Amino acid sequence: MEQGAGLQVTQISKSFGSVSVLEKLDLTVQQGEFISIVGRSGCGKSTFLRLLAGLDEPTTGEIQLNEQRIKGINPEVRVMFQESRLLPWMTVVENVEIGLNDQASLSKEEKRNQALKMLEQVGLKGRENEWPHVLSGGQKQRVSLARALISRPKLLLLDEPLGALDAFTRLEMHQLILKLWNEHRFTAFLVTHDVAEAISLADRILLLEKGKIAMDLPVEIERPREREDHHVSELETKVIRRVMHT
Amino acid sequence: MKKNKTMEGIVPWVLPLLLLILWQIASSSEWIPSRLFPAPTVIVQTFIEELQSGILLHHLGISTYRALVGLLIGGGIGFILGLINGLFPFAGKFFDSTIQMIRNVPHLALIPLIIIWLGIGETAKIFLVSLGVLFPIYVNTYHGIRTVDRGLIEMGRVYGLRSWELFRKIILPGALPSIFVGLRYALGLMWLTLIVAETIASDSGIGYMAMNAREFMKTDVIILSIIIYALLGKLADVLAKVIEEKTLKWHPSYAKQK
Repeated sequence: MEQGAGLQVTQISKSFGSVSVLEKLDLTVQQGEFISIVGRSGCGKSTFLRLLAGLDEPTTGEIQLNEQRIKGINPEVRVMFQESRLLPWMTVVENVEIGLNDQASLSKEEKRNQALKMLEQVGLKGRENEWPHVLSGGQKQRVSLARALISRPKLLLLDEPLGALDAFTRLEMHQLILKLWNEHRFTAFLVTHDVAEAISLADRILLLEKGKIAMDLPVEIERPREREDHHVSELETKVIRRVMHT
Repeated sequence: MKKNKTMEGIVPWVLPLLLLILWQIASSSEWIPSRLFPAPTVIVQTFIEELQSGILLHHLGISTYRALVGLLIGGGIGFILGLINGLFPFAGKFFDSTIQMIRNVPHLALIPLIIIWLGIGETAKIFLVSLGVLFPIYVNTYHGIRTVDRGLIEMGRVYGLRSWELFRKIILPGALPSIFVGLRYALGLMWLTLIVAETIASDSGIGYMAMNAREFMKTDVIILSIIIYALLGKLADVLAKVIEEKTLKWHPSYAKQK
Protein backbone atom coordinates (compact mmCIF):
# COMPACT_ATOMS: atom_id res chain seq x y z
CA MET A 1 0.00 0.00 0.00
CA GLU A 2 1.42 3.32 -1.06
CA GLN A 3 1.28 5.96 1.59
CA GLY A 4 1.74 9.67 1.51
CA ALA A 5 4.53 11.28 3.42
CA GLY A 6 4.25 12.69 6.91
CA LEU A 7 5.83 16.09 7.32
CA GLN A 8 7.49 17.75 10.24
CA VAL A 9 8.36 21.40 9.86
CA THR A 10 10.47 22.76 12.70
CA GLN A 11 11.13 26.44 13.25
CA ILE A 12 11.85 27.32 9.64
CA SER A 13 12.64 30.85 8.64
CA LYS A 14 13.47 32.18 5.24
CA SER A 15 14.78 35.58 4.39
CA PHE A 16 16.03 37.12 1.20
CA GLY A 17 18.68 39.60 2.16
CA SER A 18 17.17 41.67 4.93
CA VAL A 19 13.59 40.80 3.97
CA SER A 20 12.17 38.08 6.14
CA VAL A 21 9.52 36.03 4.34
CA LEU A 22 8.89 33.18 6.75
CA GLU A 23 9.38 33.41 10.51
CA LYS A 24 9.88 30.37 12.71
CA LEU A 25 7.18 28.27 11.20
CA ASP A 26 6.14 25.01 12.88
CA LEU A 27 3.85 22.47 11.28
CA THR A 28 3.04 18.78 11.52
CA VAL A 29 1.25 17.06 8.69
CA GLN A 30 -0.20 13.52 8.79
CA GLN A 31 0.39 11.01 6.05
CA GLY A 32 -2.05 11.48 3.20
CA GLU A 33 -3.43 14.76 4.49
CA PHE A 34 -4.66 17.39 2.04
CA ILE A 35 -3.59 20.86 3.14
CA SER A 36 -4.56 24.16 1.59
CA ILE A 37 -2.52 27.25 2.22
CA VAL A 38 -4.35 30.51 1.72
CA GLY A 39 -3.20 34.03 2.20
CA ARG A 40 -2.74 37.33 0.50
CA SER A 41 -0.08 37.94 -2.11
CA GLY A 42 3.35 38.18 -0.58
CA CYS A 43 2.43 36.27 2.59
CA GLY A 44 5.14 33.74 1.86
CA LYS A 45 2.97 30.84 0.71
CA SER A 46 4.83 30.21 -2.54
CA THR A 47 8.15 30.51 -0.75
CA PHE A 48 7.01 27.91 1.75
CA LEU A 49 6.10 25.57 -1.11
CA ARG A 50 9.49 26.09 -2.73
CA LEU A 51 11.16 25.08 0.53
CA LEU A 52 9.06 21.93 0.66
CA ALA A 53 10.02 21.18 -2.94
CA GLY A 54 13.69 21.58 -2.13
CA LEU A 55 14.02 24.34 -4.73
CA ASP A 56 15.20 26.73 -2.01
CA GLU A 57 16.83 26.12 1.34
CA PRO A 58 15.43 27.52 4.57
CA THR A 59 17.65 30.11 6.25
CA THR A 60 17.19 28.35 9.57
CA GLY A 61 15.19 25.37 10.78
CA GLU A 62 14.49 22.13 9.02
CA ILE A 63 11.82 20.16 7.23
CA GLN A 64 11.53 16.42 7.64
CA LEU A 65 9.77 14.19 5.17
CA ASN A 66 9.02 10.82 6.76
CA GLU A 67 11.68 11.53 9.37
CA GLN A 68 14.26 12.39 6.71
CA ARG A 69 15.53 15.90 6.38
CA ILE A 70 14.72 17.50 3.01
CA LYS A 71 17.92 18.44 1.29
CA GLY A 72 17.54 19.65 -2.23
CA ILE A 73 15.26 18.16 -4.84
CA ASN A 74 13.67 14.88 -3.88
CA PRO A 75 12.06 12.32 -6.24
CA GLU A 76 9.32 11.67 -3.66
CA VAL A 77 8.13 15.24 -4.04
CA ARG A 78 6.53 16.58 -7.21
CA VAL A 79 5.33 20.07 -8.04
CA MET A 80 2.52 21.28 -10.22
CA PHE A 81 3.17 24.87 -11.20
CA GLN A 82 0.87 27.73 -11.98
CA GLU A 83 1.72 27.39 -15.67
CA SER A 84 1.72 23.87 -17.03
CA ARG A 85 5.42 24.05 -17.98
CA LEU A 86 5.11 21.36 -20.62
CA LEU A 87 7.98 21.06 -23.06
CA PRO A 88 6.53 22.35 -26.34
CA TRP A 89 8.92 20.19 -28.39
CA MET A 90 7.72 16.96 -26.88
CA THR A 91 4.41 15.24 -27.50
CA VAL A 92 1.89 14.86 -24.70
CA VAL A 93 3.01 11.33 -23.82
CA GLU A 94 6.70 12.25 -23.92
CA ASN A 95 5.97 15.07 -21.52
CA VAL A 96 4.34 12.65 -19.11
CA GLU A 97 7.37 10.35 -19.38
CA ILE A 98 9.54 13.17 -18.01
CA GLY A 99 7.93 12.24 -14.70
CA LEU A 100 9.66 8.87 -14.87
CA ASN A 101 12.99 10.38 -15.78
CA ASP A 102 14.76 9.44 -12.57
CA GLN A 103 13.62 5.82 -12.65
CA ALA A 104 16.49 4.27 -14.54
CA SER A 105 15.29 0.70 -14.01
CA LEU A 106 12.29 1.11 -16.32
CA SER A 107 12.60 0.24 -20.00
CA LYS A 108 11.38 2.64 -22.68
CA GLU A 109 8.38 0.46 -23.31
CA GLU A 110 7.37 0.30 -19.67
CA LYS A 111 7.67 4.05 -19.42
CA ARG A 112 5.47 4.51 -22.45
CA ASN A 113 2.84 2.09 -21.12
CA GLN A 114 2.73 3.73 -17.73
CA ALA A 115 2.48 7.16 -19.33
CA LEU A 116 -0.44 6.05 -21.50
CA LYS A 117 -2.21 4.62 -18.46
CA MET A 118 -1.64 7.82 -16.54
CA LEU A 119 -3.02 9.87 -19.43
CA GLU A 120 -6.13 7.71 -19.37
CA GLN A 121 -6.51 8.46 -15.66
CA VAL A 122 -6.53 12.20 -16.29
CA GLY A 123 -9.01 11.78 -19.13
CA LEU A 124 -6.71 12.41 -22.07
CA LYS A 125 -6.79 9.01 -23.73
CA GLY A 126 -6.09 9.26 -27.44
CA ARG A 127 -4.35 12.64 -27.22
CA GLU A 128 -0.90 11.20 -26.52
CA ASN A 129 0.71 12.12 -29.82
CA GLU A 130 -0.39 15.71 -29.97
CA TRP A 131 1.80 18.75 -29.39
CA PRO A 132 1.07 20.71 -26.20
CA HIS A 133 0.21 23.88 -28.09
CA VAL A 134 -3.00 22.39 -29.49
CA LEU A 135 -4.33 21.63 -25.99
CA SER A 136 -6.56 23.94 -23.97
CA GLY A 137 -5.35 25.38 -20.66
CA GLY A 138 -7.23 22.76 -18.67
CA GLN A 139 -5.91 19.92 -20.77
CA LYS A 140 -2.36 21.19 -20.36
CA GLN A 141 -2.77 21.12 -16.60
CA ARG A 142 -4.10 17.58 -16.85
CA VAL A 143 -0.93 16.55 -18.65
CA SER A 144 1.08 18.38 -16.02
CA LEU A 145 -0.82 16.51 -13.29
CA ALA A 146 -0.18 13.20 -15.04
CA ARG A 147 3.52 14.04 -15.23
CA ALA A 148 3.58 14.88 -11.52
CA LEU A 149 1.76 11.74 -10.39
CA ILE A 150 3.16 9.06 -12.70
CA SER A 151 6.06 8.28 -10.40
CA ARG A 152 3.67 7.89 -7.45
CA PRO A 153 5.22 10.67 -5.34
CA LYS A 154 4.56 10.77 -1.61
CA LEU A 155 4.04 14.51 -1.58
CA LEU A 156 2.37 16.62 -4.25
CA LEU A 157 2.78 20.39 -4.16
CA LEU A 158 0.27 22.44 -6.10
CA ASP A 159 1.31 26.05 -6.63
CA GLU A 160 -1.92 27.75 -7.72
CA PRO A 161 -2.18 25.33 -10.64
CA LEU A 162 -5.76 26.30 -11.45
CA GLY A 163 -5.38 30.05 -11.21
CA ALA A 164 -5.46 30.62 -14.95
CA LEU A 165 -8.42 28.35 -15.71
CA ASP A 166 -12.07 29.24 -16.18
CA ALA A 167 -14.61 28.39 -13.46
CA PHE A 168 -16.02 25.26 -15.11
CA THR A 169 -12.63 23.80 -15.89
CA ARG A 170 -11.60 24.48 -12.32
CA LEU A 171 -14.53 22.47 -10.95
CA GLU A 172 -13.61 19.61 -13.27
CA MET A 173 -10.02 19.78 -12.14
CA HIS A 174 -11.09 19.74 -8.46
CA GLN A 175 -12.92 16.49 -9.04
CA LEU A 176 -9.98 15.03 -10.91
CA ILE A 177 -7.48 16.01 -8.22
CA LEU A 178 -9.70 14.54 -5.49
CA LYS A 179 -10.21 11.34 -7.47
CA LEU A 180 -6.48 10.85 -7.94
CA TRP A 181 -5.79 11.81 -4.33
CA ASN A 182 -8.22 9.10 -3.21
CA GLU A 183 -6.55 6.52 -5.44
CA HIS A 184 -2.91 7.40 -4.86
CA ARG A 185 -3.11 8.54 -1.23
CA PHE A 186 -0.35 11.12 -1.52
CA THR A 187 0.01 14.01 0.88
CA ALA A 188 -1.01 17.24 -0.86
CA PHE A 189 -0.26 20.91 -0.39
CA LEU A 190 -2.33 23.35 -2.37
CA VAL A 191 -1.43 27.01 -2.48
CA THR A 192 -4.39 29.09 -3.56
CA HIS A 193 -6.01 32.43 -2.99
CA ASP A 194 -9.44 31.03 -3.72
CA VAL A 195 -10.93 30.22 -0.32
CA ALA A 196 -13.80 28.23 -1.83
CA GLU A 197 -11.29 26.07 -3.68
CA ALA A 198 -9.35 25.49 -0.48
CA ILE A 199 -12.48 24.44 1.37
CA SER A 200 -13.77 22.13 -1.30
CA LEU A 201 -10.48 20.22 -1.48
CA ALA A 202 -8.61 20.29 1.79
CA ASP A 203 -8.70 18.48 5.13
CA ARG A 204 -7.08 21.46 6.71
CA ILE A 205 -6.70 25.10 5.85
CA LEU A 206 -3.68 27.11 6.85
CA LEU A 207 -3.80 30.86 6.70
CA LEU A 208 -0.39 32.39 6.23
CA GLU A 209 0.13 35.97 7.29
CA LYS A 210 3.38 37.89 7.41
CA GLY A 211 5.38 34.71 7.36
CA LYS A 212 3.45 33.05 10.17
CA ILE A 213 0.61 30.59 10.38
CA ALA A 214 -2.23 32.83 11.55
CA MET A 215 -4.92 30.17 11.49
CA ASP A 216 -4.96 26.39 11.32
CA LEU A 217 -8.47 25.21 10.58
CA PRO A 218 -9.66 21.63 10.06
CA VAL A 219 -12.41 21.17 7.47
CA GLU A 220 -14.75 18.54 8.86
CA ILE A 221 -17.30 18.39 6.10
CA GLU A 222 -18.14 15.21 4.17
CA ARG A 223 -16.91 15.08 0.58
CA PRO A 224 -18.15 15.82 -2.04
CA ARG A 225 -18.61 19.33 -0.73
CA GLU A 226 -21.21 21.38 -2.48
CA ARG A 227 -20.90 25.11 -2.61
CA GLU A 228 -24.54 25.51 -1.56
CA ASP A 229 -23.98 23.46 1.62
CA HIS A 230 -24.34 25.91 4.49
CA HIS A 231 -21.36 24.37 6.35
CA VAL A 232 -19.21 25.22 3.38
CA SER A 233 -20.48 28.75 3.01
CA GLU A 234 -20.20 29.41 6.75
CA LEU A 235 -16.62 28.27 6.75
CA GLU A 236 -15.86 30.33 3.68
CA THR A 237 -17.26 33.45 5.31
CA LYS A 238 -15.26 32.73 8.45
CA VAL A 239 -11.98 32.39 6.58
CA ILE A 240 -12.56 35.40 4.37
CA ARG A 241 -13.45 37.54 7.40
CA ARG A 242 -10.29 36.43 9.11
CA VAL A 243 -8.19 37.29 6.06
CA MET A 244 -9.78 40.70 5.60
CA HIS A 245 -9.71 41.82 9.23
CA THR A 246 -6.00 42.30 9.50
CA MET B 1 -12.24 27.82 -56.13
CA LYS B 2 -9.67 25.66 -57.84
CA LYS B 3 -9.33 28.02 -60.75
CA ASN B 4 -8.66 30.81 -58.30
CA LYS B 5 -5.84 28.83 -56.74
CA THR B 6 -4.06 28.18 -60.03
CA MET B 7 -4.46 31.83 -60.89
CA GLU B 8 -2.92 32.78 -57.58
CA GLY B 9 0.00 30.48 -58.34
CA ILE B 10 0.62 32.11 -61.70
CA VAL B 11 0.33 35.76 -60.72
CA PRO B 12 3.77 36.21 -59.09
CA TRP B 13 5.47 34.83 -62.19
CA VAL B 14 3.83 37.13 -64.71
CA LEU B 15 6.10 40.13 -64.20
CA PRO B 16 9.44 38.26 -64.32
CA LEU B 17 8.26 36.45 -67.43
CA LEU B 18 7.25 39.72 -69.12
CA LEU B 19 10.62 41.26 -68.29
CA LEU B 20 12.41 38.23 -69.67
CA ILE B 21 10.45 38.43 -72.93
CA LEU B 22 11.10 42.16 -73.18
CA TRP B 23 14.80 41.57 -72.58
CA GLN B 24 14.89 38.87 -75.27
CA ILE B 25 13.20 41.11 -77.82
CA ALA B 26 15.27 44.16 -76.96
CA SER B 27 18.50 42.27 -77.17
CA SER B 28 17.91 40.20 -80.30
CA SER B 29 16.62 43.22 -82.22
CA GLU B 30 19.79 45.10 -81.15
CA TRP B 31 17.54 47.65 -79.46
CA ILE B 32 20.08 47.47 -76.65
CA PRO B 33 23.64 46.38 -77.57
CA SER B 34 23.71 42.60 -77.29
CA ARG B 35 27.39 42.78 -76.49
CA LEU B 36 26.50 44.41 -73.16
CA PHE B 37 23.15 42.68 -72.62
CA PRO B 38 23.26 39.24 -74.24
CA ALA B 39 19.80 37.79 -74.81
CA PRO B 40 18.46 35.15 -72.37
CA THR B 41 18.70 32.54 -75.12
CA VAL B 42 22.41 33.30 -75.52
CA ILE B 43 22.95 32.88 -71.79
CA VAL B 44 21.17 29.54 -71.83
CA GLN B 45 23.42 28.53 -74.73
CA THR B 46 26.51 29.61 -72.80
CA PHE B 47 25.25 27.65 -69.81
CA ILE B 48 25.00 24.48 -71.89
CA GLU B 49 28.44 25.01 -73.44
CA GLU B 50 30.15 25.66 -70.13
CA LEU B 51 28.38 22.69 -68.63
CA GLN B 52 29.53 20.38 -71.42
CA SER B 53 33.12 21.56 -71.28
CA GLY B 54 33.17 20.80 -67.54
CA ILE B 55 34.49 24.26 -66.67
CA LEU B 56 31.30 25.31 -64.94
CA LEU B 57 31.12 22.20 -62.79
CA HIS B 58 34.78 22.59 -61.88
CA HIS B 59 34.28 26.16 -60.62
CA LEU B 60 30.94 25.32 -59.06
CA GLY B 61 32.51 22.45 -57.15
CA ILE B 62 35.31 24.61 -55.81
CA SER B 63 32.96 27.39 -54.74
CA THR B 64 30.61 24.99 -53.00
CA TYR B 65 33.53 23.35 -51.23
CA ARG B 66 34.78 26.69 -49.92
CA ALA B 67 31.32 27.71 -48.83
CA LEU B 68 30.63 24.49 -46.96
CA VAL B 69 34.02 24.17 -45.27
CA GLY B 70 33.84 27.82 -44.23
CA LEU B 71 30.33 27.33 -42.87
CA LEU B 72 31.39 24.24 -40.98
CA ILE B 73 34.42 25.85 -39.37
CA GLY B 74 32.98 29.29 -38.69
CA GLY B 75 29.52 28.00 -37.82
CA GLY B 76 31.02 25.34 -35.56
CA ILE B 77 33.15 27.85 -33.68
CA GLY B 78 30.26 30.30 -33.40
CA PHE B 79 27.93 27.59 -32.16
CA ILE B 80 30.36 26.29 -29.56
CA LEU B 81 31.22 29.78 -28.32
CA GLY B 82 27.52 30.57 -28.12
CA LEU B 83 26.89 27.42 -26.12
CA ILE B 84 29.74 28.00 -23.68
CA ASN B 85 28.89 31.63 -23.12
CA GLY B 86 25.18 30.90 -22.84
CA LEU B 87 25.59 28.03 -20.40
CA PHE B 88 28.29 29.45 -18.16
CA PRO B 89 27.71 33.04 -17.05
CA PHE B 90 31.38 33.53 -16.24
CA ALA B 91 32.44 32.55 -19.77
CA GLY B 92 29.81 34.94 -21.09
CA LYS B 93 31.24 37.75 -19.04
CA PHE B 94 34.78 36.87 -20.04
CA PHE B 95 34.33 36.38 -23.80
CA ASP B 96 31.24 38.19 -24.96
CA SER B 97 32.37 41.81 -25.04
CA THR B 98 35.59 40.86 -26.88
CA ILE B 99 33.63 38.88 -29.44
CA GLN B 100 31.22 41.79 -29.87
CA MET B 101 34.15 44.11 -30.53
CA ILE B 102 35.57 41.86 -33.23
CA ARG B 103 32.09 41.40 -34.66
CA ASN B 104 31.92 45.11 -35.38
CA VAL B 105 34.88 44.96 -37.74
CA PRO B 106 33.49 44.48 -41.26
CA HIS B 107 35.15 41.20 -42.16
CA LEU B 108 35.46 42.08 -45.83
CA ALA B 109 37.69 45.01 -44.84
CA LEU B 110 40.25 42.42 -43.81
CA ILE B 111 40.74 41.20 -47.38
CA PRO B 112 43.96 43.16 -48.10
CA LEU B 113 45.46 41.96 -44.84
CA ILE B 114 44.36 38.40 -45.43
CA ILE B 115 45.93 38.38 -48.90
CA ILE B 116 49.23 39.45 -47.38
CA TRP B 117 48.98 36.94 -44.57
CA LEU B 118 47.52 33.95 -46.34
CA GLY B 119 47.93 34.67 -50.05
CA ILE B 120 45.09 34.00 -52.44
CA GLY B 121 44.88 30.26 -51.81
CA GLU B 122 42.07 28.23 -50.32
CA THR B 123 42.95 29.13 -46.75
CA ALA B 124 42.27 32.80 -47.31
CA LYS B 125 38.83 32.21 -48.79
CA ILE B 126 37.81 29.66 -46.18
CA PHE B 127 39.07 31.96 -43.44
CA LEU B 128 36.96 34.83 -44.72
CA VAL B 129 33.83 32.72 -45.07
CA SER B 130 34.35 31.28 -41.59
CA LEU B 131 34.70 34.75 -40.16
CA GLY B 132 31.56 35.87 -41.97
CA VAL B 133 29.32 33.07 -40.70
CA LEU B 134 30.76 32.89 -37.19
CA PHE B 135 29.06 35.94 -35.73
CA PRO B 136 25.44 35.48 -36.76
CA ILE B 137 25.54 31.90 -35.49
CA TYR B 138 27.32 32.94 -32.30
CA VAL B 139 24.97 35.80 -31.50
CA ASN B 140 21.82 33.79 -32.08
CA THR B 141 23.01 30.68 -30.25
CA TYR B 142 24.02 32.78 -27.26
CA HIS B 143 20.76 34.67 -27.29
CA GLY B 144 18.74 31.49 -27.79
CA ILE B 145 20.29 29.75 -24.82
CA ARG B 146 19.98 32.73 -22.55
CA THR B 147 16.31 33.19 -23.31
CA VAL B 148 15.19 29.59 -22.73
CA ASP B 149 12.18 29.71 -20.39
CA ARG B 150 13.53 29.60 -16.80
CA GLY B 151 10.32 27.91 -15.70
CA LEU B 152 11.01 24.94 -17.95
CA ILE B 153 14.54 24.59 -16.60
CA GLU B 154 13.23 24.66 -13.04
CA MET B 155 10.63 22.06 -13.96
CA GLY B 156 13.40 19.89 -15.40
CA ARG B 157 15.36 20.15 -12.16
CA VAL B 158 12.33 19.14 -10.09
CA TYR B 159 12.02 16.05 -12.29
CA GLY B 160 15.63 15.14 -11.72
CA LEU B 161 17.08 16.11 -15.10
CA ARG B 162 20.79 16.58 -14.63
CA SER B 163 23.29 18.57 -16.68
CA TRP B 164 23.52 16.66 -19.96
CA GLU B 165 19.87 15.65 -20.06
CA LEU B 166 18.77 19.11 -19.06
CA PHE B 167 20.78 20.44 -21.97
CA ARG B 168 19.57 17.86 -24.49
CA LYS B 169 15.91 17.83 -23.52
CA ILE B 170 15.30 21.44 -22.54
CA ILE B 171 18.03 23.98 -23.26
CA LEU B 172 19.04 22.98 -26.77
CA PRO B 173 15.52 22.48 -28.16
CA GLY B 174 14.51 25.75 -26.53
CA ALA B 175 17.36 27.59 -28.21
CA LEU B 176 16.86 25.94 -31.60
CA PRO B 177 14.45 28.44 -33.18
CA SER B 178 16.93 31.22 -32.49
CA ILE B 179 19.87 29.15 -33.75
CA PHE B 180 18.05 28.61 -37.04
CA VAL B 181 17.57 32.33 -37.46
CA GLY B 182 21.34 32.62 -37.12
CA LEU B 183 21.93 29.83 -39.61
CA ARG B 184 19.78 31.38 -42.30
CA TYR B 185 21.41 34.72 -41.81
CA ALA B 186 24.83 33.04 -41.93
CA LEU B 187 24.00 31.32 -45.22
CA GLY B 188 23.37 34.67 -46.84
CA LEU B 189 26.66 36.04 -45.51
CA MET B 190 28.44 32.88 -46.59
CA TRP B 191 27.67 33.43 -50.30
CA LEU B 192 28.23 37.16 -50.08
CA THR B 193 31.67 36.72 -48.55
CA LEU B 194 32.61 34.07 -51.05
CA ILE B 195 31.54 36.17 -54.03
CA VAL B 196 33.63 39.11 -52.88
CA ALA B 197 36.63 36.97 -51.99
CA GLU B 198 36.55 35.08 -55.27
CA THR B 199 36.07 38.19 -57.33
CA ILE B 200 38.96 40.08 -55.77
CA ALA B 201 41.58 37.41 -55.44
CA SER B 202 41.24 33.95 -56.83
CA ASP B 203 42.19 31.60 -59.61
CA SER B 204 39.14 29.38 -59.47
CA GLY B 205 35.50 29.39 -58.44
CA ILE B 206 32.42 31.07 -59.83
CA GLY B 207 33.66 34.52 -58.85
CA TYR B 208 36.89 33.93 -60.72
CA MET B 209 34.90 32.69 -63.71
CA ALA B 210 33.06 36.02 -63.79
CA MET B 211 36.21 38.12 -63.37
CA ASN B 212 38.01 36.12 -65.99
CA ALA B 213 35.13 36.61 -68.40
CA ARG B 214 35.35 40.35 -67.89
CA GLU B 215 38.85 40.34 -69.40
CA PHE B 216 37.38 38.95 -72.61
CA MET B 217 34.18 40.99 -72.49
CA LYS B 218 32.14 37.81 -72.24
CA THR B 219 29.10 39.40 -70.65
CA ASP B 220 27.07 36.23 -71.10
CA VAL B 221 29.41 34.32 -68.74
CA ILE B 222 29.31 37.16 -66.21
CA ILE B 223 25.53 37.19 -66.15
CA LEU B 224 25.50 33.41 -65.97
CA SER B 225 27.79 33.55 -62.91
CA ILE B 226 25.51 36.04 -61.22
CA ILE B 227 22.48 33.88 -61.90
CA ILE B 228 24.28 30.84 -60.50
CA TYR B 229 25.12 32.73 -57.33
CA ALA B 230 21.50 33.70 -56.98
CA LEU B 231 20.39 30.10 -57.47
CA LEU B 232 22.94 28.79 -54.96
CA GLY B 233 21.79 31.32 -52.41
CA LYS B 234 18.16 30.37 -52.94
CA LEU B 235 19.01 26.67 -52.75
CA ALA B 236 20.82 27.08 -49.43
CA ASP B 237 17.90 29.05 -48.04
CA VAL B 238 15.35 26.46 -49.16
CA LEU B 239 17.44 23.68 -47.62
CA ALA B 240 17.71 25.53 -44.34
CA LYS B 241 13.98 26.11 -44.37
CA VAL B 242 13.23 22.44 -44.95
CA ILE B 243 15.50 21.39 -42.07
CA GLU B 244 13.93 24.07 -39.91
CA GLU B 245 10.41 22.88 -40.62
CA LYS B 246 11.36 19.28 -39.91
CA THR B 247 13.12 20.11 -36.64
CA LEU B 248 10.63 22.67 -35.39
CA LYS B 249 7.45 20.86 -36.29
CA TRP B 250 6.30 21.26 -32.67
CA HIS B 251 6.37 25.03 -33.04
CA PRO B 252 2.93 26.63 -33.44
CA SER B 253 4.07 28.81 -36.33
CA TYR B 254 5.24 25.81 -38.34
CA ALA B 255 2.41 23.47 -37.47
CA LYS B 256 -0.14 25.56 -39.32
CA GLN B 257 1.42 24.93 -42.71
CA LYS B 258 0.52 21.26 -42.52
